[in-house]
Amino acid sequence: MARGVEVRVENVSKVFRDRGVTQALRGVSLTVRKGELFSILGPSGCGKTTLLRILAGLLKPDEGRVFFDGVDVTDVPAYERPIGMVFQDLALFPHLTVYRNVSFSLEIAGWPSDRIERRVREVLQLVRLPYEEFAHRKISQLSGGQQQRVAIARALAREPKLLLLDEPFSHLDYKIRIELIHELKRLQRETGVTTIYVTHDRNEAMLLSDRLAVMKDGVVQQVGTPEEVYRSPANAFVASFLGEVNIIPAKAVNGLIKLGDLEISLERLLPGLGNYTGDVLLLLRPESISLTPPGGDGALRFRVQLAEKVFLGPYTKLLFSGWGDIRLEALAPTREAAPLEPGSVVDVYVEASEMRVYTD
Amino acid sequence: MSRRPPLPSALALLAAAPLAYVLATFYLPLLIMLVESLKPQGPSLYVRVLLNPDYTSIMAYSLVLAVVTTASTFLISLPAAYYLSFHVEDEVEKSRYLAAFTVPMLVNFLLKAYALMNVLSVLGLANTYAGMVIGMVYEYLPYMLLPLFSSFERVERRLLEAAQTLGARSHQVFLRVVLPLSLPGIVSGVALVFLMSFTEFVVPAMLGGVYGYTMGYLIWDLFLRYRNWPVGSALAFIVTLVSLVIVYVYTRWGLGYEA
Repeated sequence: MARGVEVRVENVSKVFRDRGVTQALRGVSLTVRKGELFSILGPSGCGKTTLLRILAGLLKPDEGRVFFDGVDVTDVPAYERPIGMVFQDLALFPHLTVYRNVSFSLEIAGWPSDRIERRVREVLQLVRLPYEEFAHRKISQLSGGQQQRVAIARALAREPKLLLLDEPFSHLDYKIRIELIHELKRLQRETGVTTIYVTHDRNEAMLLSDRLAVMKDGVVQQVGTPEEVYRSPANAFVASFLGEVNIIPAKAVNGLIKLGDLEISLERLLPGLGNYTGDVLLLLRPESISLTPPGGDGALRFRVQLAEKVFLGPYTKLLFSGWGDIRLEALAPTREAAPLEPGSVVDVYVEASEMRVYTD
Repeated sequence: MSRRPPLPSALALLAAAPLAYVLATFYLPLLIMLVESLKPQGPSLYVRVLLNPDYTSIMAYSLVLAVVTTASTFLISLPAAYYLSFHVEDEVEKSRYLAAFTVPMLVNFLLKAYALMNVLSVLGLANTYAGMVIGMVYEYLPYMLLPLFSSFERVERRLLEAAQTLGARSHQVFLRVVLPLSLPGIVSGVALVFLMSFTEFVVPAMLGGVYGYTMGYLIWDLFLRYRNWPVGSALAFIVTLVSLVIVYVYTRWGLGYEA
């Protein structure tokens, strides 16, 4: 079933200037497993597209190697790699029909025309574009979502072993985007092709991926499942890039920090910091702050004042002012938050295990 | 309900002035020439001219020369324009190359022609057919190269990358993506050079020797040496009509490929 390749990137670096902006990759190493749906997530300019283009063979790295199933393909040109690529601007051929766009790679590969037609029908069905209705349309006669489907069909036509997507849905409406992401997931499961999806949208990445890599400034910050990366971010950047987070600076003296009137032993949060002295950052997701005391005795209790309430439907965002100029953002079920009025002083609870400590 | 402005807008007047100029200097005199050519004998003159093998053979000869010139210019310009557009990355360098091809357009033609005559003499090509074709290509190169270059420039580069990721090598990318997308520029460059070289007479007259007696030369002779204006105008109109028909048919065919 899984007819994808394993992709291994070893210590890849690349520096180039593009319209006055220096794009760079610095010592990127990662492995994407056979048949995996893998996202590369990061802000614009983090090098994610550069990495994708190196995987496609459209760019050569300055240093480092790329392996498909253990075979070094670093010097193999794009047209000889077993890939399909969907570009951000789609790059569909405007002078060709849907049919001829999809059959492009098959014509190049010299397939006989009856086999090409069978395959075009198959792939259009796979992306849910009825053949009779769409095959002979021009690209300009399609909606944005339909063009996306053609781009995916074109990339999948010759059964690539690696599918590369560069923010393909970024200019579509939210609803169509979500629909296409689910479709892509289904397609990927059906075909078993190893898929690498580049995006700056954390929701897309989390919805889609088996695993993901978070990048910043040309460096991979963390690789893991969406849950691992969300719940145990490697650093403050990863934490804040994947979702809302409270970042609380504090000073530790001999393994103890003071938060308001509360004194906490760092050892409780992260074993091995028993004697640490210096600056630390505490990271806390808004949904980890609860209005009711949890069952166990591991909870920390903070006395705070409600400054602002933002109604979000099932949840309500609560902005508390704590000690000093610390602000805490919490996300509580609306039925729990409803009785609270701005100005009221309340106790909130945090499980120690939900709090992350960073010493850098 | 849309209300029309009571007077033509100032912008329309801007266009009216050059239009009036063209009417007065081109279309009106042309009409007079047409009338002049019909005065002595009526349309039968045209039939006579068309049936005169002296004239038709010269027309055929000019047609062949125009095709040879256009084809040679195209074959020389295509790789140059391709290289310039796709393989010169530095914009400054690109404009330098482009200038090298276009500066000859700014130089006085007689100067260029005499300079070329010297070179052709040294090569032993003066007053030969080949020498004449070299002169024609030399004059029309920029008119072919520039449309080719600018249509190559308009081809979205991402499409070439897409073709590569679909397995296309560079010659396949060129034939399947670049060429069809550049067709409008190719068609217009070819049409332009063909039209101009069909009626050209200065280059053949100066560089062609005995090979230089083309349609343009013949019309020149009829007007200025034999003072036979009716036949001269009739031939000129026939040539114009023939080239318009050829270019129309060719353009329809060439651009039809794209649709």
